Amino acid sequence: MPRESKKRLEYLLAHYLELPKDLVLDLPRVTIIGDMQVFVENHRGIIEYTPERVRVSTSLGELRIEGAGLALRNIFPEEIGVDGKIRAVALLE
Amino acid sequence: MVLRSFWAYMLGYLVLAVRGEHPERFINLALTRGVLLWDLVRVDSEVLLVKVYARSFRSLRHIARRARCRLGIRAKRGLPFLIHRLRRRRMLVGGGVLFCLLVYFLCSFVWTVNVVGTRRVSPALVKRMAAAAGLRPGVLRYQVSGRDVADYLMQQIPGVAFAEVDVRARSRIKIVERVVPKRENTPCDIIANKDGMIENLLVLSGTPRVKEGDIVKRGDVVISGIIRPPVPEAKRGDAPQPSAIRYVAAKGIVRARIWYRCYGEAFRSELEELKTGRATKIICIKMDQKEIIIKGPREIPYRFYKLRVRRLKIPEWRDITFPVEFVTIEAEEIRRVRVHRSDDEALRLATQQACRKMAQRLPAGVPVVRRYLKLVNDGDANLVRVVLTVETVEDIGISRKLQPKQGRGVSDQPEQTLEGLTGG
Repeated sequence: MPRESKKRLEYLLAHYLELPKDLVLDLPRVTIIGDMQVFVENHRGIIEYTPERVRVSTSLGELRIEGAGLALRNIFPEEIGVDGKIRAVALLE
Repeated sequence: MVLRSFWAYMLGYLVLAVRGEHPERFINLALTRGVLLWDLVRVDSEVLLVKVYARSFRSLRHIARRARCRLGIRAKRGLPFLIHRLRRRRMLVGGGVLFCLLVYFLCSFVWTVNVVGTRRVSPALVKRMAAAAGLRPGVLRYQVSGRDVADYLMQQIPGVAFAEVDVRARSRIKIVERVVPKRENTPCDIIANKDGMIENLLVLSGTPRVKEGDIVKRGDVVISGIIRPPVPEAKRGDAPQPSAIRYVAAKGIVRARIWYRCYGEAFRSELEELKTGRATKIICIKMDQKEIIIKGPREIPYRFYKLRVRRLKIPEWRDITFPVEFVTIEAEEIRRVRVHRSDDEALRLATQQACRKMAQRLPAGVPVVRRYLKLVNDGDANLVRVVLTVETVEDIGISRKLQPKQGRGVSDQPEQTLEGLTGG
């Protein structure tokens, strides 16, 4: 089975069975709390970390968090927590 | 988060400084090897601060080598490191423990004994009796039973109805005194306890000495406890028989009109002291001539101020007095302002002052019949003076034990006569 059609089947399955898509499709789940905290679940590691910019690798591509005084509160295999003044969160493919 | 920081503290953690070109590589490697990192902060472009459990430091060194980063330990935190450090400073720990033990030890003594709630019973007597029951400064407080001391006080001191003893380092004895009921059966007079004009008089027993409308002074007998036999007819001319005189406890209601006068004054122009709201507190220890200031400025930084000074001395023990005193000085800044008042304002202020004095003098629950204000003029233009007069009607009769010497016609040995009668 080609890769595209497999993805499509998984999507349909998740859609009809109302399963959480982040689990079935291995998608990142991003939670933003105000402008203070960002949590990224299902990540694939850190690409870059500076106080102004954090880039996180995900299955969709790169998740970019911009702000000031950013700190990585914790890093678990399944979750990254970023603290600081958040200005922008962008998903770059 | 709290749980994690608690565990981190219990297990011990390190604050590491990671230097290198790509600390991200270090982070990712640690992630894949299952080494937990938290609180990653980039201090500047070179240094990344990382917190990590102390036990995972060994595996982190391999990771750092592979990521081409150098590791440096900035701080070691947590209980294991604290214990390690304190192991080398045993005297410090010992001192802390000794301090706690000493405070506990000193708290187990009674240092002072305080008596509250006494009116007629003297506090010194209560203290003496409490000391006799075992509660005195210097004893171990576990050896004193508050209940026993209270029982002893209630038994031994006649005027005490109830005693409560709180045994502590600063012990407190609370006394409630017994209200002695009036004696009814001994012969007595009813006398006036205030100056006034008799408004109405109701005699239940005894001989009235005044009639309605009379002016009485404080201490005057209003109803006498001596009842004489009816005056025999003038024709016989015999002196009344002394044996026929009866002595009773005079009873009756004496209501009199009383005048209270209160004076009030106010200046039209005067210097007033107002609080500015600024205040300082100085806490110092005085030893002989030396003063050690613990808190607050050395000098009071205001020009005009009011002081409140409290001193706390260590109680004497045997004949040793401690030359140490804790002094708390509270200074409130005041400012002097010249106030000018109009006639009305000055009058109102003077009246208020008089009313305030009146409120203190008037007994509670007494009906006021009339009140009037009089302006006193003595030529001083600056001063407004008023006299407030309040008229009330009060019960002024109180009973006093019969004093035979004052009674007319009582025999030469009044004491004996009275004693004999009372006994009968």
